[in-house]
Amino acid sequence: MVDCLFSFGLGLMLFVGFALLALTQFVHRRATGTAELPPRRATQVRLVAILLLVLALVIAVQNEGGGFGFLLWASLMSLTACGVALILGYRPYLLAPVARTLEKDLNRQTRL
Amino acid sequence: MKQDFRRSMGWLHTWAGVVLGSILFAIFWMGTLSVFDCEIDLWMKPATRVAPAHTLLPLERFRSSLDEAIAAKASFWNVTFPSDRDAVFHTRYGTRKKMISRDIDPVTGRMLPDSGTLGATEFIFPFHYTLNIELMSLGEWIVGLASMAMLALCITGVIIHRKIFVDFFTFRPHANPRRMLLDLHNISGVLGLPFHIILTFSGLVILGATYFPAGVNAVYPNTRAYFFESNGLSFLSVKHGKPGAPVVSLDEAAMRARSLWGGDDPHLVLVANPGMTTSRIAFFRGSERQVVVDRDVIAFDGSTGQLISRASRLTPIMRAQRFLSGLHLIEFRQWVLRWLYFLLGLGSCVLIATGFLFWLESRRKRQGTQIGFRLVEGIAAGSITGIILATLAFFIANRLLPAGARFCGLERASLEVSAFYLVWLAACVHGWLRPRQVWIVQCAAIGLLASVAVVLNWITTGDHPLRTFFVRYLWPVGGMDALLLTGAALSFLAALYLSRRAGHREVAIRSARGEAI
Amino acid sequence: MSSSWLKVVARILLAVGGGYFASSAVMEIFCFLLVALGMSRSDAVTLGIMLVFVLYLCLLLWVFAETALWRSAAMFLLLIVCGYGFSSFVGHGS
Repeated sequence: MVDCLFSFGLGLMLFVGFALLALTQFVHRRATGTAELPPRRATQVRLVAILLLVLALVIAVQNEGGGFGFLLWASLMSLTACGVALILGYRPYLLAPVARTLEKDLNRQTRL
Repeated sequence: MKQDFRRSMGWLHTWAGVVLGSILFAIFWMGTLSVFDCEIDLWMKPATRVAPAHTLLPLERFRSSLDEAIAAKASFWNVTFPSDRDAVFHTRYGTRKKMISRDIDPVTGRMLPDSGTLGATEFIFPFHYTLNIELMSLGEWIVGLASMAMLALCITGVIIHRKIFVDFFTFRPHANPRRMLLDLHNISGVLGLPFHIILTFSGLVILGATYFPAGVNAVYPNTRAYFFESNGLSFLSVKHGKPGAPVVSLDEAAMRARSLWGGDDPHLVLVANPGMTTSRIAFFRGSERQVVVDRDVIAFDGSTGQLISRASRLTPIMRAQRFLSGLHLIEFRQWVLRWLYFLLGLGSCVLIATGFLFWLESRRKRQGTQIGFRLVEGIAAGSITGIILATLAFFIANRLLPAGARFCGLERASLEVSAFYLVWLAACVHGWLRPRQVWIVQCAAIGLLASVAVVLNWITTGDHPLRTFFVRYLWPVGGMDALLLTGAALSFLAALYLSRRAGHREVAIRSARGEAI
Repeated sequence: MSSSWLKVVARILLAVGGGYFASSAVMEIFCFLLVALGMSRSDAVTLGIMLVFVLYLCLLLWVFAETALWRSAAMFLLLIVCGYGFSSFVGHGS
């Protein structure tokens, strides 16, 4: 049971990472009804996403040991990336909230 | 030059795919099923659906089986211990002419009735790497060739995929069929690429000595010597010896092995040359807790009980090879990972199937009626939906055939296998004769047969999903039923979707011609 | 028309068959050299097995990418002759 929860959590982390990566691409931003990200912002988001993916590997290896951790991470990578692709294909609006938060200005004052 | 390079890689990708796609689908389909080979065995051999024992039976309880093996002049006898996935003991002994396997109740030690089936461990799993073609190991060589082709297909696939990062998450299910199929092929290919490449490569490495004996024979007298030395089995290369020697207490030897291992139980006990002066008792360690396959083996002299050998510690190179084989053979105990492997395996099947389907769809308009096209379509139908139907027929025959059934000199196990091949052939022929509805009909047939299999399991064994989900040791049976029902539902949906699309196409064609709809 | 078919068949045979024997020859020499340099037999052969498939794949793809078949054929012939000469000189393992 603990195994399942841990893997689910790891999967969620990877899913968010891949969703972020996908939502920096123009084609998927259009599908979620949001505008294209400025290039600097897109790079920032991609960096965060890759950090998430690497962090997931570290956590997996830490908790499950080298062999199992790596295999768990690699398998979940493939499946969660596939999940993101399927959601963007069938129900892209589900990821619209995530897409919108990526546009938000970090510096609130400039919004006013 | 770049353009030529891409074109030649594209040519290789297309033709390797079309020619070897059928074999690859069979390999990946059987491989995916083999992930749950113990669970499928439990479904196919109802007699083994027993609760696991809390304590291990002493090995001397199997002495009568050992004596039987000695009387039959067997060259080996072994006992497989129960594990997390397999509640019963298995004894096996082999003479030159035959191999006798028995299942033993883990609580009472009594022999369970012979199930008369090869099951997953002796049909589905060997099919995965031999295609069930034993003649001169031709099957293994074909699998090897197909595996090299798979590696080439993966690499050429990446090379010809122009916008691999742009299209990384692109899936357009509502576009026209060609586009949707290509998108699905790209997604299952690119996102599952590590799995496809690593599993194929590790599979080749496992059988590496068979495929490249010349290199082995440069430093060893033969490949068997390499196999023995790298697996700590050198104690097996002894002469036959003279008969009549006793075999010492197996439990005493087991106790000594356990103490050498710090308390771990063996997974397999082997007696080589039982009853001879050169008999050997060997204990093999299990690999449940790690990915690296542990082939740590402790050997004793069979007649004196003296310790002969223990496998040496793994060098880094051997460890790397064992890690590769371990991640392919998945002998470990990690349920989440096992289920992930199953899903990824299905992903590979989707990759190969969509490859075929895309090739057919992109040539349908131009060559739809040509003989070559129809041949490929028939083979495609036979290799994809056909082999799935054949597997379901295998399961259904397992439930329908009475124990001890015989027909035309074939035993029950062979009859099940015949059912498999007959349905496979029928699916191919159906594909050649009726190409227009083959996918719809075969998808619906898969749905039907899978549901029938679940119902038959209920009728013949009384274990239905509501019961199996509440009994811990019956979960594998429940899981199998659940997967069959899920597969049935998906197949029916696919058949519905395809027939609706075919209906729309009919309407479009007719209205274009100005006919009444 | 038939000459292009022959070329295709020749390319496939060269890639699959020629590539196989060439990789096998390289593996023979590789394993022997490693053992001669002091590596244990099982280590040398295991490493050889893990690397030979990568080599075979590269040779396969090279034959299909190469425009002039004679170059690949010549290379394979050279490797096979080396391997054969090598094994007859050194003899079978013991």
